[in-house]
Amino acid sequence: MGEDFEQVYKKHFAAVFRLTLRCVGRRDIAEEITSEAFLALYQNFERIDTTQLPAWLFTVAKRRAADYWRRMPHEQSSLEGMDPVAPHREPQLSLNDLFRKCSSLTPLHRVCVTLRYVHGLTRSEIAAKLGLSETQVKGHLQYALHLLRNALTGGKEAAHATTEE
Amino acid sequence: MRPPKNDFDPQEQDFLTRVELPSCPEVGLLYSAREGILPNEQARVVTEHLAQCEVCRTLFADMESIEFGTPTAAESLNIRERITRSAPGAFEPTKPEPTWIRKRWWIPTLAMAACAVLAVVLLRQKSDTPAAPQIAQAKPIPEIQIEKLPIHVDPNTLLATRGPGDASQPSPKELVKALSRYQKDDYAAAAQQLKTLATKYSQDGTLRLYLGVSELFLDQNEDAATELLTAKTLNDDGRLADTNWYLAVAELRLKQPDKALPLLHELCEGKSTYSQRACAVESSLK
Repeated sequence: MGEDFEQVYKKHFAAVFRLTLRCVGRRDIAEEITSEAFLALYQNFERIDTTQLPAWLFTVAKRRAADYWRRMPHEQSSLEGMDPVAPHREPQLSLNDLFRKCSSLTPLHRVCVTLRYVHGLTRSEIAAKLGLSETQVKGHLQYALHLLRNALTGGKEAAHATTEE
Repeated sequence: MRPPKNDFDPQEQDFLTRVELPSCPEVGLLYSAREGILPNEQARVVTEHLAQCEVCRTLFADMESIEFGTPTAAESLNIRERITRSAPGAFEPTKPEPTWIRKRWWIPTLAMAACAVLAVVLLRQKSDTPAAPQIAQAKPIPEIQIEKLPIHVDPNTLLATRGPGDASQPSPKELVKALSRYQKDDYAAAAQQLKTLATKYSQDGTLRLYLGVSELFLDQNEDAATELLTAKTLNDDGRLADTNWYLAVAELRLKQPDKALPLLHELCEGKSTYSQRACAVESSLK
């Protein structure tokens, strides 16, 4: 006997949500698109071979994500001003050089640092994006910043050691 | 890209003045460009940026490696509620069959009664008329679960093996684009792109083979049979076994065992990865 809609939903909804969140970067929009994809599936459920899933759902979700970027006001999806080599004041090292110097930073530390200092997200926005608590994000950033500043100064400014909680 | 929010503490501000930071597009745009859902111009800009920006590439790789994006309990509930608002019956359990159907006690009873009546009729006929020739019962057509046909040529080496492309075959770039959809199990997008290429390069059997397989995954069996039949006339010996196997599957799905049997026989007689399966299906049909 074939799977019913609820079984299919339970099996695939998290994967559809994950893909959508990666494409649009906002959890509220990912929620909306995931529910739209499953609604489309429900409306066509009799006609769809469930062995085509989740590919069929991914295709619907990606089309909706494309619509999202198309609808996005120009200034928000604009790529103007992007310049990978734009220098800051008195720069000493690039962020990636610093990452290379701090081998004890984990991927999660680097993600928090990049989202905060390159993408300008607040701690609560990073927490929402990554599904963490704000306290966790604060801890990761403090630990990472301590190591990065040490790497910048060769350890001369390590006034107090901040350890990750 | 968005302007940074000015909520940095003094340590952060100090750090920001000392480090060189790039100006990058939103993370979602990076993913969207990779998934091929951005308009061409925007995709080109993002892809070019990604090629130059090491910070973005590191972020991309790091985000792939962390547990990221699992919906929370509240989000799961919200999604379910949104669906229920538009389709109230979506999560309702399927109504059980009435007891008299569910228990099915009447089926064997009815069958026994039918057998008794048939026996009486046959016994009467036997005494009056010569035995009628037995009608061979049609064997049920087996259902074959298809496997994805692997891409035998590494898309990255296409340039070396296929050359730069000419009027009769797609360029490596076109083929890589279409096959990358196939590789990601996105058969709808793959079929669309392969169909466009197959129209443009009508003599390329490989395109039609992968188009046919994509259509089989989409359950578009008639279209698949048409493409695979064309592929059979175009493909050389190297791809013939693949073509025959998937064409046989399409014919079986279309309830055309007579068309599938010669293909299965050819595969069964030959030496390919399909030989054993083809022999088994062939014998089940005979």
